[in-house]
Amino acid sequence: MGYLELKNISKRFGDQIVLDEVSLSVEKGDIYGVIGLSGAGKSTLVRIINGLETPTEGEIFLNNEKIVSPKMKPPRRIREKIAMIFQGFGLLEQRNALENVHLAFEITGEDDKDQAKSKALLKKVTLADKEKNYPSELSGGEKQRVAIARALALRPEILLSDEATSALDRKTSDEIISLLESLNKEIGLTIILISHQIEVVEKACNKVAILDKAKIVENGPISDIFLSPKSEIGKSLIYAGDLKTPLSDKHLIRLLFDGDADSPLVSNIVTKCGILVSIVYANTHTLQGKVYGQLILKLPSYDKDIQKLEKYLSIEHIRYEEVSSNELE
Amino acid sequence: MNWSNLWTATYETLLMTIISSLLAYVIGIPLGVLLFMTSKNGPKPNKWVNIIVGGIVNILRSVPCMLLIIILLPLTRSLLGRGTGAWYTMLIPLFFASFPFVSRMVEQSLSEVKKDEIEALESMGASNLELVKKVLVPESKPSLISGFSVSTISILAYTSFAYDFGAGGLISRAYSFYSAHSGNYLSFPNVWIIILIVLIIVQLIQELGLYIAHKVDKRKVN
Amino acid sequence: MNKRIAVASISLLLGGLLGCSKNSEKTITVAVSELPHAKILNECIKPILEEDGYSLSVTVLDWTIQNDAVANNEYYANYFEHVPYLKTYEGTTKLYAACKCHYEKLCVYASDVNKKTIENGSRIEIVDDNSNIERALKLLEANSILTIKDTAYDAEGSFTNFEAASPNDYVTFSASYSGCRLTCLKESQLCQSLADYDFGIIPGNTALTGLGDSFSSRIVLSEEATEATMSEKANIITVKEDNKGSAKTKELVKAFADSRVGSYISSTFGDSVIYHYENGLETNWLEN
Repeated sequence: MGYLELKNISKRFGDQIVLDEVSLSVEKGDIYGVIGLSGAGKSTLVRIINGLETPTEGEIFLNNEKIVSPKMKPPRRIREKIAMIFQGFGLLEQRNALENVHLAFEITGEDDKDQAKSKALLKKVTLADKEKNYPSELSGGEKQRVAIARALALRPEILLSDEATSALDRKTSDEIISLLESLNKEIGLTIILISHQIEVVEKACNKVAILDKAKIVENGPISDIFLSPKSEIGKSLIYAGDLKTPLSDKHLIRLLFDGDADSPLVSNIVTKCGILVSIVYANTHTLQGKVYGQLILKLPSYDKDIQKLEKYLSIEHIRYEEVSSNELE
Repeated sequence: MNWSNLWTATYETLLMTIISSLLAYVIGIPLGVLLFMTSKNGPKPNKWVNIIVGGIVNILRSVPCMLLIIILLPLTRSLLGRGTGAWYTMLIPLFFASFPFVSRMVEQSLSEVKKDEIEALESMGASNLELVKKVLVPESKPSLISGFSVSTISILAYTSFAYDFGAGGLISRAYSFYSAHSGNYLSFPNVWIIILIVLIIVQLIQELGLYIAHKVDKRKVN
Repeated sequence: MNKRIAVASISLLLGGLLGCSKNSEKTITVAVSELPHAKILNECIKPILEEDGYSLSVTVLDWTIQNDAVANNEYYANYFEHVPYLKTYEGTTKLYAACKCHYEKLCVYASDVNKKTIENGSRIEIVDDNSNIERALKLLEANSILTIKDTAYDAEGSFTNFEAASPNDYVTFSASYSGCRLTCLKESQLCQSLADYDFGIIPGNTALTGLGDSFSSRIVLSEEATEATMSEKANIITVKEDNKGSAKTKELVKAFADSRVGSYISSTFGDSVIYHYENGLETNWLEN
C-alpha cells in the first residue's frame, strides 16, 4: 500500500453522487495533482482526507493505519499531521499575520513562548517584515504565504492545497507553487494539489489524477497524462487554449513531439515534403524540465498529402494522430 | 414642563433599554451560537437541536409584546415583588421579547464569517469551543457590535408598552401628555421636547455603535 | 475605561432603585385610567389627602389588569370601573367598592357637525372596553337603532361574551338602520379617528379633551342621566375587601366626600363628568 492510500471513496449527498469509487495511491514526497472541472468532486475529496467530510463508502489509510471510514474521522493526532490551505486563504481578519500563525499553536497546545516559533515560520516564508500587518493590508500572495506558515506550524507530513492559487495572478501563483516545491524538497512534505488551472499542475506535480463527474478517468505520472491524455475531459483540459483559426474541416492531424523546439518542424514539412500546411493550433508544456508539445495542422489537400506526411513523421520519430474538429470545440 | 420628572423619565428609559439589551445578549449570544453551529450550512449541523431551539425562538417572536407582558406578570411578580408600576418591572418582559431576535441577529452575524476561516481551524483539529472562542465570535465582533446598537434601539421602541403598565419612561410621558390633551397636544412644547430627547438617545446609540464597530474592525485598518 | 463604565452603571442602577423606596405607611398608591381619573386624583384629591398627612401616588395602568394588580397588592386601590364591571371580576381575592365618585356622561357625537342624524348605513365607532360598550349599545337601543343579542351575555347575565373584534355579530340593527356598522376602538383614539366615521360614542371626558370647542355642538344623543343611572354607572374606588376597614380606605372615602371635589369637577370638566358621591363602606354593592 502507498503512504496515503484512498480505497474506493464514494460520497453521496442525497441522490447526488459526488465521488464514485475513487482510489488513489500517494507516495511520500509526491506532489500529486488532482484536476477536473468545477464541481467534479475535487474539493470534497480532499475534505474527506482530513475529516471535514466523511465518505459514504470507502476507507483511507495512512502508513497502513486506517484513518477514515464512513464511521470514522481522522483522530486529532492524525489531523495535526495533515495541513490545508485554501483558495480564500482562511486567515482570521481580526488577527495580524503573527497572531494568525500563532493560532495554530493555540490549537495544538504547543508552547510558543514570545511567539518565537511563529516569528521563525513567517521568516521562512519571507514575510518577517509583515508580522504586525492585518490580512486587509496584505496582498493575495502574502496572505497565502501566511496561511502556509500557519500550516507549517503543525509540522505536517501532508499538505492539502485546495485551489490555493486560483485567486492569484499568474506571477504570484508561480511564486506560491515554487514555495511549495521548495518545501517539498526541503522537508519532504507530501502535497496533494487541487486545481482547475493546468499551468499550476504541470509546473509542480509529478503525478496527476483527473476527476470527471465523480470518477477518476485518468491517473498516473504527469508526463504520461500530459503527453497523451486519453479521456475526453483530459484532452479538453490539457489541450485547452486559443484556437488560431476556426475549425471547419474534418481532417486535421495532431503532432506530438518531445525534443528540441528548435527543429524547424513545420518548415521542414513544407520544404522537404512539399506539403502546404496551416497551423490550426499550437501548444507546448514544460514538464519537469522537458519540452513537450503538440501541433494541430490542417492540410488543404488532405487526401493527397496525408500519406506522404505520415511517412515523413514516422522517419523523424514524431508521433501523430488523427483528430476530428469536434474534439477541440 | 416638570424638569425633574423629565429627568426621571429619561433615566428610566435608559435603564430599561440598556439593561434589557445587555441581558438579552447574555442569553442571545450563546443561543445565536447554538443556532448557527447546528444550522444546515453551519459547522456542526444538527437538525433536531436547530428545530427545537429555533422553534422556541420563533414562538417568542410571534407573541405580541402586549400579551407577552401580561402573560409574564406572575413571573415578574414572583421574581421582583411587583409586576407593574416601576421601571424595573419592564426588564423581564423586555428581556423575553428581545432575546429571540437578538439570537437571530447573532446567528446572522456569525453566518457572515467566511467559511474558509472555519474550515481552516476545523482542519487543524479545533474543538467546537475553540471554533466559537477563536474564530466565530472574534471574527464577527464588528457585526455583533453594530447589531447591538440596532437591537438596543428596537428595545427602546418596545419601552412604549411601559405606558400601559405604569412603568414610566419617556414614551409613557409622551402618551400621558397626549391623553390629557388629545385635542391639541402638538401645540405644547412637552411632546416635542420628549421626542427630541428620544432622538438624541437614538442617535447616540446608533453613532456610538457604528463608531466602535469601525474602530474595532481590522479589515479597515487606517 | 472598563472600570469607569462599571462605576457609572452601578450608580445609575442604584439611583433608579433608590427612587423606588418611599415611606409606605402614609402613602396611598392608586392605579387609574388616564382620563379623568388621574387628573381628578392628582389635582384635587392629592392636596386634600396631604392635609391629613397622607401622600398619594398615582399610576396609570391598562384597564384590563387593574383589578388583578390590586388583588396582588401592587396598588392599594384602583379607580377606573363601575360596580357592574367590578361584578365580573373572577379572581380569588375579594375586592370591594369603597365609594362612588363620578359619573361620565356618554353621548353620541357627530363626525360632521352638519349631519347630526343617524341614518341607514352610518358607521359608528365605540370604545373597546366592556365597561363602557354595554352603555354605548344600550344608548343606541334606547333610541331604537338596534337591539343587543342574548349571545352577548353569559349565563349570569354579565356582558362578558361580547367580542370587541366583531361587534356587529352581537347586535341586530332595526329595519331602518340595517346597513349600519359598529367598530370598537381604544378610548384614547376615538377623537382622532372620528373623522373616519359618521358617529362616535365617546365617554364624556375623553370627548371634551379631544374634541375641544366643538364638543357640545357635536352631541347627537345622550345617555339619560337619571339618579338611578348615575348611581349605577358611577366610577368607584376599588380596594381589597380585607382593606375595607383600614385607615387608608377611610381617608380616600373621606377625601371624595369633600365638597371641594364637586366644585373642582364641574369647573374642570363642565357637564361631561358629573360628581356623584356615595359612601360604600356600610353596604356591599357587590352583593345586590
